[in-house]
Amino acid sequence: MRLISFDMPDAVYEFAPWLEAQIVGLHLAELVAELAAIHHVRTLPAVSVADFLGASAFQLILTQGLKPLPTSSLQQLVSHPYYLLELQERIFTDGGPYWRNVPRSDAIQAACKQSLLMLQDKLTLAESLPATDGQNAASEPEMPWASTLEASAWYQRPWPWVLNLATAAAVFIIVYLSFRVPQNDFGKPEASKLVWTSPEDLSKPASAEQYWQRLATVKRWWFSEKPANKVQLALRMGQLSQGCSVLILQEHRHLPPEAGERLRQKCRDWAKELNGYIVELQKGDADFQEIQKKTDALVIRLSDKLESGMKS
Amino acid sequence: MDSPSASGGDEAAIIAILLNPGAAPADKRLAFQRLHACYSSDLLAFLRSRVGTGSMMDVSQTVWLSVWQKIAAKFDGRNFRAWLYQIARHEAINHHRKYKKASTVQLPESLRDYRVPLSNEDEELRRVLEECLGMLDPRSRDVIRARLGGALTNEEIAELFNLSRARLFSLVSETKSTLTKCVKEKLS
Repeated sequence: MRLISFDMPDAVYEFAPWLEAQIVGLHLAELVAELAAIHHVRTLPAVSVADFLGASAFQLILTQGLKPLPTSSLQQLVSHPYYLLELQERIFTDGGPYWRNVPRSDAIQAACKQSLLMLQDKLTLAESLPATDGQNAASEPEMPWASTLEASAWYQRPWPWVLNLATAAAVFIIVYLSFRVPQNDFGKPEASKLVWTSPEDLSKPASAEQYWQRLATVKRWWFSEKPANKVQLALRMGQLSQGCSVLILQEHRHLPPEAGERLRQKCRDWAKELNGYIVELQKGDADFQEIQKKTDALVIRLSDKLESGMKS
Repeated sequence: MDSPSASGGDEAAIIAILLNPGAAPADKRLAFQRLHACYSSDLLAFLRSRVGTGSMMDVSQTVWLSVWQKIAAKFDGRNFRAWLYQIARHEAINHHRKYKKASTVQLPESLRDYRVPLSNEDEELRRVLEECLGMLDPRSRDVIRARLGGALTNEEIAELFNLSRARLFSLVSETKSTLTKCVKEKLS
C-alpha cells in the first residue's frame, strides 16, 4: 500500500507534470481523498472549477496544461482537492491537443486492453465483433485514424472469409461448451466442482462482479462434503491448495489489473495459511477435526472477501 | 477544440461510418474499436475517479455498450467526446444512486451541475487517513500538511518549524511511514 500524495515531488518545477500524470491516470481519486484528509476538506465545491480558478487560468490549463500556471493556482488546487475531479472531466471533454501528449501509465494502457477484451467477449456473443484487431487497436496510443482504417479495412484483408470462419467457430465452441459442461453458468456451479482449479471456467466471459461471485463459490464446494477422516480431509485440502496455485498464476482478465494483483497477493496469504494446516495434519497426531474447523474458518473468510470483491 | 486523441477530420470519418446505416457491419465494428482505442484510457481514468477501482471496468463496459447500441439513433454527429462523457457521467450517477445511501445523493435540476462525490472506497481512504492524522503529534501533523500543501519549499518549511533540512527530511519520512502503516492497518 502506498499513499499517492506522498509521491508529490519536492521541486516546484516537477509538480505540474506530476499532477498532470495523476489527472490522466488511475489514482486521481485516491490523491483527492488523501489531500482532502490532509487539508481537512469535507464539502464538495459549490462553484465550478472555471469560476474557482478564473476563466483565463482555466483556459490556459485546457490548452497548455498545468505548467504555465502560477504556483499559487496549483496550491489552490492542492488545498481544495475536490476541484481536481471536475478539472479532470473538463480536460477530458474540452481539453486541447496538449493533453494528448501527456504520457499515460502502463497500468492504464493494460486496463484499456482488458476493457477491449471484455467488450469483445460481450459483443462477440451478441454481434460477433472481430477479435483479431482488438489488442492492436488498444495498444496504439495515437490512432492514425483514416489510414489505419483503410489499411485494415475488412474487405481489403487477405482472407476475410478465414476471419468469418474463425468467428463462427469461436461462437460454435462457446455454445458447444456451454451445453457440454454440466456447470453451464458461471453463477451456478456444481457444488462438487472447485471452479478455482478450472482455468477454462475462470476464463469464461463475465463482468468483474460475476467473476468475484464465481470465485466465491469455493465456499459452496468446500461445505458440500464433510471429510470423514484425515485422509479425506488431506485430499480436499490438497485440492484447495491447488486452486490457490491456479489463482496465483492465472491471468484475471475480468478484473482491473490492480484488483487482479491484490487477488494474487491475497491467494498467496491464504495458500500459506492452508499449507500450514496441511503440514499440521500430516504430523499424524493432530486432531483432524480441529484442523477442519480452522480450514472451515479460512474458507468462510476468503469466500467473504471474494464475495465482496475484496472490499471487506 | 481538437479531440485529444485524433484529428477532427479523422474522427469525423470514423463517426460517419458508425452513423451510416448502409456501412458494412465489419467496418462499423472496426470503427467502433478505433473509437474505443482513442477514448478508453481517459474514460477509464474518469470512471476510476467517480466509481472506484472495483466498479470502474463494469461501468466502462456499460458505457461502451451503450455507445455501440445508441450511436446511430441518439448521437447528433457533432461532438462525440461530449456525448461519450454525458453517458459516462449518467452511468456514474446511476452507480452512486445504487451504492450510496439514496438520501446522500441530492440531484440538482441539471445533471451537469451534479458534483459526483468520491466513491465509497476513496471516501473510506479519506476517513481513515484523517483518523491517522489525528493520532499524530501536532508538530508532525503540521509539518506534513505544510509539506503536502504545494505552497512552501523545503527551505521555507524548515525555517517555519525551526528545523534543520536533515531533521525536516527525517521527520517527513518518519511521518509518512507512520501514516502509511496506520492506513494500511485500518483498511486491511
